[in-house]
Amino acid sequence: MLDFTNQGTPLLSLRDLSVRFRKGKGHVHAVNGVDLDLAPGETVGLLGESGSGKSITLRSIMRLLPDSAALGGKISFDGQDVTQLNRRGLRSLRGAGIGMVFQEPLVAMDQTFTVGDQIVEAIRAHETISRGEARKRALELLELVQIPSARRRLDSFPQELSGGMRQRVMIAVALAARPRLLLADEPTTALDVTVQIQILLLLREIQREFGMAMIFVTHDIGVAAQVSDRLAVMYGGRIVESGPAGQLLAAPEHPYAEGLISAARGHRDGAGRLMGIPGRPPRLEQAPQGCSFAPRCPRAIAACAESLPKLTATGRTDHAVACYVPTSRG
Amino acid sequence: MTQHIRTESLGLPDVGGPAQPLLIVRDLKKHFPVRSGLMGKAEKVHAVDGVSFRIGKGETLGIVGESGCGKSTTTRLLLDLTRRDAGEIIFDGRGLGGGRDGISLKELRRGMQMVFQDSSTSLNPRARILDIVMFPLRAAGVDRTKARDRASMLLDRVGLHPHAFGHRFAHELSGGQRQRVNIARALATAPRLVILDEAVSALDKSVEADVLNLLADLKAEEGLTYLFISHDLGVVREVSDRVMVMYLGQIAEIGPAETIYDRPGHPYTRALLAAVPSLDPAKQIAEPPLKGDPPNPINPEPGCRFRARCPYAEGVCKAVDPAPVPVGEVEISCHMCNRASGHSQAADWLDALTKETADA
Amino acid sequence: MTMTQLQSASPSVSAATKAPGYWRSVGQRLMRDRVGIASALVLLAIVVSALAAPLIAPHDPNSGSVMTRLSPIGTPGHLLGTDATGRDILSRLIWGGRLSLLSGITPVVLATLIGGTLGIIAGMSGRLVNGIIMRITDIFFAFPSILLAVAISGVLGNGLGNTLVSLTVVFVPQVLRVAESATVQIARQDYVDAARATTASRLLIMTSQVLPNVLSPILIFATSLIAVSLVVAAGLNFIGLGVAPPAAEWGSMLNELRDAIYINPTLSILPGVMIVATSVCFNLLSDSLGSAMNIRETDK
Repeated sequence: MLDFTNQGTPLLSLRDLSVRFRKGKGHVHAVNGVDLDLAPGETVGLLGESGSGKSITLRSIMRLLPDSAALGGKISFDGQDVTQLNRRGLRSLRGAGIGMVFQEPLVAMDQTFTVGDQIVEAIRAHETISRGEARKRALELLELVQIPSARRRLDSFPQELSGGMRQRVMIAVALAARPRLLLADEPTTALDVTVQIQILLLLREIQREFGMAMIFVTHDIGVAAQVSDRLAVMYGGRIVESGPAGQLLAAPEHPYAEGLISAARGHRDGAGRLMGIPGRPPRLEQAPQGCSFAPRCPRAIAACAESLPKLTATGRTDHAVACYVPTSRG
Repeated sequence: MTQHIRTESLGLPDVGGPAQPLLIVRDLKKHFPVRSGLMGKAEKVHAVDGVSFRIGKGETLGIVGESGCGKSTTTRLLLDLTRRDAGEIIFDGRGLGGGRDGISLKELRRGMQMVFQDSSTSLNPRARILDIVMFPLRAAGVDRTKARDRASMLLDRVGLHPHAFGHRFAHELSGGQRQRVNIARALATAPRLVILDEAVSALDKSVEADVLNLLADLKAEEGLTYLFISHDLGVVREVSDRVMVMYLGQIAEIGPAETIYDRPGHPYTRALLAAVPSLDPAKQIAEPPLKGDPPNPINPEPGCRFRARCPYAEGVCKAVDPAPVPVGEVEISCHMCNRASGHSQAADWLDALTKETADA
Repeated sequence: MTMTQLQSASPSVSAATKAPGYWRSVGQRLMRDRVGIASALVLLAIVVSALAAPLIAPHDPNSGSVMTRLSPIGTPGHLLGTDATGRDILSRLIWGGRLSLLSGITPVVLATLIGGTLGIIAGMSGRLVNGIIMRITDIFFAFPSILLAVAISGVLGNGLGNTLVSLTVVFVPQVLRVAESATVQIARQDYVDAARATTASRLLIMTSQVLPNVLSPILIFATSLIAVSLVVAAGLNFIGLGVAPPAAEWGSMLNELRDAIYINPTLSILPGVMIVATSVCFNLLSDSLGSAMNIRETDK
């Protein structure tokens, strides 16, 4: 068991998290043994491409999974085992302990209620206060997320707002019950680049002000670098490398992380060709026997296909990699 | 050994010679009518509002911009998928609809084609891959056997073995494979100009590299010219010779890619480039370079479109619409780049810009 | 390098292997759908027995003896009993199948051809033509379909032909609307734009890109209409607006057997059972067709 925090008890702890969906006659093994610790106030960037399992990992923390999903492993929030919570327990967890921000605000928000009503509803779901009080708080929240003319906006509908404003509203709703942890699932992917940076900086500011921890899922390495203290790279439903953001980006250990960062930097090989990662993402119909990246890995050895490498500490601070041939070992 | 995909019956021969730009666009305009509510005023969205540029033979022109800038509408106007309200399109020296020496729409569509963004909607879900690539050929009157052979060859050329993939359906392919099909389809009639509209935007980064390499190979081997549209500034820099920055239906800045990326002259370009997060956490962005959201180009007011968000906006920006001004090899539509504009910062801005250029 | 040189140089580049096309795969998927197969078999039995009526019906459907009227189910010689004038119900059900199925299927087929074509044209046309077609269609929608069928039948008069016409008129607007809506949606997709960007004519685009993709929702909707048509036709016959007695038809049989409720209730529901069974089977088949035509289902 690895404890990645240097501050004692982690706020969130995932141990051997696995999620398996029923699909037709078979299964999809979307998440295959994820270990993660999150300290209070820390931001972890969960980085991966499509099919890596990053979104599902996030949703399983809030148990926002479809009925066809089977959850395994342990999720502890604030010392409490979340995997065993019943409906009522979950409802109080969602919003009050943990807030969530999604990629598409229009899909996540109700288009028949005003912005103000939705924030008020979120507040009153966790606190017994009057509507008037809640509305005042809603106004404060809108101002906190830097929405201009906040008082007027309370009575707007989500579809009347621009993309950036909608995302700010969604953040306001997520913050309504003062969560200790914010789960962000690609919240800026659909936004223009000048709006994206506004939202990223807003999240960081709010985080610092409230001492909130955050898990930020993204496929964009630049975005992850901008918001994260630590990075966790996912592939085939597992975390293959995790460590401090700067350290990991400067010198990745895992060949997949290396390839990903190379591609993002636009590195070219000797012949002037852009370097990608050959091959296709792994099929998730079966639980991985060996390392799922082995078929595409330039450094794969026999052991890689035989058994699943565990996330083990490297020599460097806080840095772990799940690989039999990490870079530092030559 | 490269198999040249051109055949005599397809494509358009080079008429104008190497000095003639392959595409000249003059003053392109498209305004969409919009009605706010049943009894509302009829307003117009100025999606493309006086866009002029040229693309040289064998070059790649990148177009960048955010929502509402008009880059996608521009590509649709070029292929007449949306009818333009005004403007000229001149292909290899021949104007579209321009009488005897002009070029007909049919011919233009043989010379210019588009690769669409891979979404579930870019390939007919009920057609086999081979048929999808054959369609433009059959539509052009090529007989079935020749069309099949050429389509097979194209699939092979983009790395999809026709025996393995020809009979499959789009949903059986991965995103990268679907894009290769899109590329093969676009090349079916041997066009000389290929428009790539967010062609790699939906792909994972690791796959994107392969597709970009393929595009580069094809460009070199077939002597193609590319128009590359993307919201991803990094990718555009990788592939483009020249870059055009669009804002609210107009061109803010256009010139050599290196110059614009290293020494942007337009305040919008500066803000745009400064907003891209760096892969180096040490280089974190501290302040958003631009406040607010990209506006909707409905009934824009006179003057510079960017002035509402521009930190340097002054009276002249409100009064006069800036015309493009050459600064070295770049054309910039900003009053600060024109000493005679009346903008108080013009002299300082230009001096700083030209000094940077001289130092570079 | 010429085309022929390339062809001979690399035989692997020559034409790809022929593999099951879209319709074949639809068929394959249908074969695996147990509910669909069951419904299809039941329907097949009904259709075959209707067609083979002269061969398998034990009695003449129109002759009967008052002496044996309203005999219960299981009477020797009359497996399903007799009706009020002594006619064998089983035979009448078998022969009745002909008219009932005809009234169910024919109007839908006609309506699909007419409504489907008009709907696709409307969907691919400009605002003016589309507007004209759709507003005229809206007029028909102002009337509830059964009322419309009754009204038209009332105007045209009795008879099978008139029933078929009135039902067709009722269904055309419905199919048209589904077709237009599906066409408009499809026409917006990128691959249609890609086809428009080639030198293809409007007609070619319509038949090669649009049609295969709108066919699915249209066919699914149409097959679900068969059950409706069956029931409405039976209804028209029930109130006497359809085929004239003594023609055997499930709807008119329901009418005839109404009074039998007081004497032998089980007899009176038999035609109803046939109507329900056939309708349910058509609906189930329609559902199966819908799943089979869904191209996103991965085959394993």
